[in-house]
Amino acid sequence: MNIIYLLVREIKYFTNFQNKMYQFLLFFQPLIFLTIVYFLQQLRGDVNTDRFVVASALISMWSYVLYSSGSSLVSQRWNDTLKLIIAAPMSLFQVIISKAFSNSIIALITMVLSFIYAKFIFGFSIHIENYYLFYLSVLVLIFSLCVVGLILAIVFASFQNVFDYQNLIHTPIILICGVFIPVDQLPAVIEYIAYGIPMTWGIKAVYEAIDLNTMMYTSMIVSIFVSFIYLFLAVFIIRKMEMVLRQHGKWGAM
Amino acid sequence: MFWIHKYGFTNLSYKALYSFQSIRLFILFRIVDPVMHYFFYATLVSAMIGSDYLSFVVIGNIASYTCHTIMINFMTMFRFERRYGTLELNIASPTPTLWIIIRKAVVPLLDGMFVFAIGLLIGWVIFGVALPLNQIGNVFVLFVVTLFSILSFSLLFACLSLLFSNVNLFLNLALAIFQVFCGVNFSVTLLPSGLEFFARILPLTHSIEALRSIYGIESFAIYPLLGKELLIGFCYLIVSLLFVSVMEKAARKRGALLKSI
Amino acid sequence: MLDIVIEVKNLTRFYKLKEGNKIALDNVSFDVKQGEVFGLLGPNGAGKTTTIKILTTLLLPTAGEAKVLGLDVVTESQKIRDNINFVYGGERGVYGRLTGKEYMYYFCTLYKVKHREQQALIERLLDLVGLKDAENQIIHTYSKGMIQRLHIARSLINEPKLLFLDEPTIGLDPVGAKLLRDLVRELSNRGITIILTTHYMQEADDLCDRIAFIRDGKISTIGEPIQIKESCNHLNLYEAFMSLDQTNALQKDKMFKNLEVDELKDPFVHLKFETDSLAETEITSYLEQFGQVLKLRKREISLEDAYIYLMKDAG
Repeated sequence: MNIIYLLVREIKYFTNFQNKMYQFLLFFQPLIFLTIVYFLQQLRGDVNTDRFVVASALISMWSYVLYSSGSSLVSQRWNDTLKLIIAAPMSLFQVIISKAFSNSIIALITMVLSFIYAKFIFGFSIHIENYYLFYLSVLVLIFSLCVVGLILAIVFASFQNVFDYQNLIHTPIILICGVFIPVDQLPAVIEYIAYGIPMTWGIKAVYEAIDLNTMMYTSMIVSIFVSFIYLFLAVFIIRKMEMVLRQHGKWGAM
Repeated sequence: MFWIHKYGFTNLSYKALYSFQSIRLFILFRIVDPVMHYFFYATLVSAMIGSDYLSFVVIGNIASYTCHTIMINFMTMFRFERRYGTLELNIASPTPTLWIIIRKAVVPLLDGMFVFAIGLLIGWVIFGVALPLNQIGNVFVLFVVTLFSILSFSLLFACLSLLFSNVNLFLNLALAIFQVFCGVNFSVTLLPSGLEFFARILPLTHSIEALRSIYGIESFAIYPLLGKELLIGFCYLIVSLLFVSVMEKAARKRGALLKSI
Repeated sequence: MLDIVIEVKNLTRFYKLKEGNKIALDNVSFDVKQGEVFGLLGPNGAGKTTTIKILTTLLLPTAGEAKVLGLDVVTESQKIRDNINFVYGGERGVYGRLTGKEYMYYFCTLYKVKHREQQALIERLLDLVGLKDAENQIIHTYSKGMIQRLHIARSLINEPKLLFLDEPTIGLDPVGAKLLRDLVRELSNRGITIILTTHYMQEADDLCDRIAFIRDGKISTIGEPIQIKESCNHLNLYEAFMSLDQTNALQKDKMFKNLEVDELKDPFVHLKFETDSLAETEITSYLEQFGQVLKLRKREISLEDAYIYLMKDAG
């Protein structure tokens, strides 16, 4: 139960809509992307805009998770609140996962906004055959984003020099996870890498759910499976991290 | 005056305030990152309307990425300047404020020059958009004119930013507006007439059209476009000059010299 | 030869706030003579920094007049800036990634020092402030005291006739503070007029030729430290060493004003207090009811005593 309270508090207290970067990612980025899509589709009449409305949402969701979850542990270290968290009875894993989860839920805002912008500002018609299946696929995507956020939080906190390259991770992930072009059309090496990322499957599931592709259940199950593998990995690493932290009394490299 | 020597103003400004101090960072952020940026838009466009349009978008993004680099890094220098508390010391010196700002711009300009050249190279090697070699002279003229107009605009933006405590949102929005309205990914002629007018008073719009014409992707006359770009640059420069002098007076009157972070 | 380098007449400055105008300086007048070390002392928010900002031309006065080196701060700011410089306390105002020497080169360029003269000037100044050995270290590695001395070196680049030091020793360890005070004295000996603000009374007493106490935007007292202290000579300040039996009773007792009790090794204490008119024998016999008086003597008035007394009075 505790973890649920923690999650609610996390969303209530730590979601910082004052942060200008987050404002930009959540509210403006979809608008800008959709504007570009709007004018590009005028160049060719028969563009299926559904995919790009969803792409707009995915890009902003991913950006938000990258910058919020990614820096969630690092920023605790800057604020020197990390040792308070370690000292609390709640395990470090619970704390981080609740942060990652709350950030993925917040990222949903931008998905909703993308649809609203698309419908009411740009007049795109959106064809979703079965809304329940679409919601289901979005839930699967949220789970995969949450796990990715968790992994990023750990990696960034452990390797300061990786955190410096945060911006460099942003675009490649969009490109290889199949946001624009289906993963199976990518070069083989990249395709294999992409299938190792939980989000790839979540994104695939969402696209397939829009037009009721029969593969969607498989994609959802694989997405959940891959996400769980990372989750268990994360549990293990965080336990280990906690031990190291207690032994050294400070953050070192793992 | 701008020559780089060990204790020169440009070199010291770079060392004191610039984010990329190692070769590794430079390669990652000046070669890898632009490649990713070009791939992002190239993929989007290919997925949407097919690869015929690829060179149009790549050329637009090379110009736009150069502009981003200059603007972001120019603003970042001022952000650091305020964080370190050194801005007041600079302004209190007998060198006029505008002159200090212009001299500091040399660093992001050099950086922009590098990004532009690398961008053309990437366009050629990765995306097969070959520079017509007989046009190198024109590219050079275009480059100088564009740098001038972007710098003038950045000057105005830098002055404005001194009035606010957090400029990141404005900067991000400005860059996004450039990405949408300067004809980076689609021709500004697609915009409704009001917005097209807006697009045509921004820097970069005419330069991008000229650059595409140099590459033979569009067929406008190059020099009239560059003439307009130059004129726009001059207008921004004059506005920034006025703005700096007004701001200096206002700052003395109001108390806080400039809003510090 | 100018005798008076700063001339302030009825200087007033308002700040516009949401709740209405706040008076930061209220009709302040004072002069500073050439070669003086002039101290501006007062609590936070008293108007010290506002005064300095106006005199360094970074802020315009609301009313009144201020002349620096005979030049008007409102209309002749550029000429003033060429002849003054300032140092703010704290660690801000440096580029941590540069070395001390590079930092100096940077400001030499801003202060338009001729290229061929830069090197000699920088060497001379860094030597003066004792940073010659650290000139090639990056500023990130400097101590607070070193940063302050670097600031002073920077402030001397334009060979100012007048130097403003705003709490230069704040946050420095005793050794760093002493080095800095020695440096201020050295600069004063070289004929530079110095305006100093500080919270440390001992420091002001040591360094300043004249001092102004400022509070709520008004100058309450102005004079040489010795004069200020003498003006408080009517105070009967005492200190005593006692072996104390009844600590609580003494602390509650209302006989003495401003009683401070420093507990030494139990049961010994050191007392500081003020009386109106009691003679020493009367004090001793009164104190004896709380324990044994080992030593009692009238205390010399320090600048801090005068400050506390005068500021309390002004309030």
